[in-house]
Amino acid sequence: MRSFKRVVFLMSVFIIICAVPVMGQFSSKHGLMLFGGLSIPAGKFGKTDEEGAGAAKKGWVAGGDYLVSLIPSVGIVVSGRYVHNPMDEQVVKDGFGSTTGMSATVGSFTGILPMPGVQVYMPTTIGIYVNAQAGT
Amino acid sequence: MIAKSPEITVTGFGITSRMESASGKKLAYGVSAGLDIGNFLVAGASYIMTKPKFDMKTTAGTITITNTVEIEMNTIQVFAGIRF
Repeated sequence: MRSFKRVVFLMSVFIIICAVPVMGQFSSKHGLMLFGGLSIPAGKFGKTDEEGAGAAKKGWVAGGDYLVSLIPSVGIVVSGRYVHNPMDEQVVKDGFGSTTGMSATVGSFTGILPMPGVQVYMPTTIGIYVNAQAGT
Repeated sequence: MIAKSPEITVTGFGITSRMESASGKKLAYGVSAGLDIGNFLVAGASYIMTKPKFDMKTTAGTITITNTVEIEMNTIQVFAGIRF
């Protein structure tokens, strides 16, 4: 029983020794991130049948951000995004009903979002982060 | 957000009506959450809220009409990326 306790104690010490450098390595996360993905219209932006509807379809987003840690688990993040959402061509065509000889071409909504903010993250190898940003 | 509205062109009966792409600018707010793996791989989602105002100019023949329209451009962005 006594040797079992010793093994548990030694194992605990070993785990802590292994974990501390890993924790320390990510207590100050930083660097440039490049990302890409889907841009899904929300609310009126994706609607087609109400006042102020944008009739936007699913598009894409690409951008980058730079994170600098201020204190462990908290940092400043500055991001730039380019968003591209095509407009639903069918909405314009439906406006003509079944009128023959009419044709329509529609473009896309685009946007550039430069946004600084604050990011809070878990200082672990695999961790969750949240941030809040604002900008024009 | 520095936004641009879509250009819309409608043609029929020998007339072409064109609504030009317009620029709009408005403060945007966003919240994001995600998973960071080893300060290298990142996957997450953002909710961006903004409502830019556009001065849309429509031309049909010799007639030109300008309308000011505010469009809510809220988006949910799902992304994956690499941190260097």
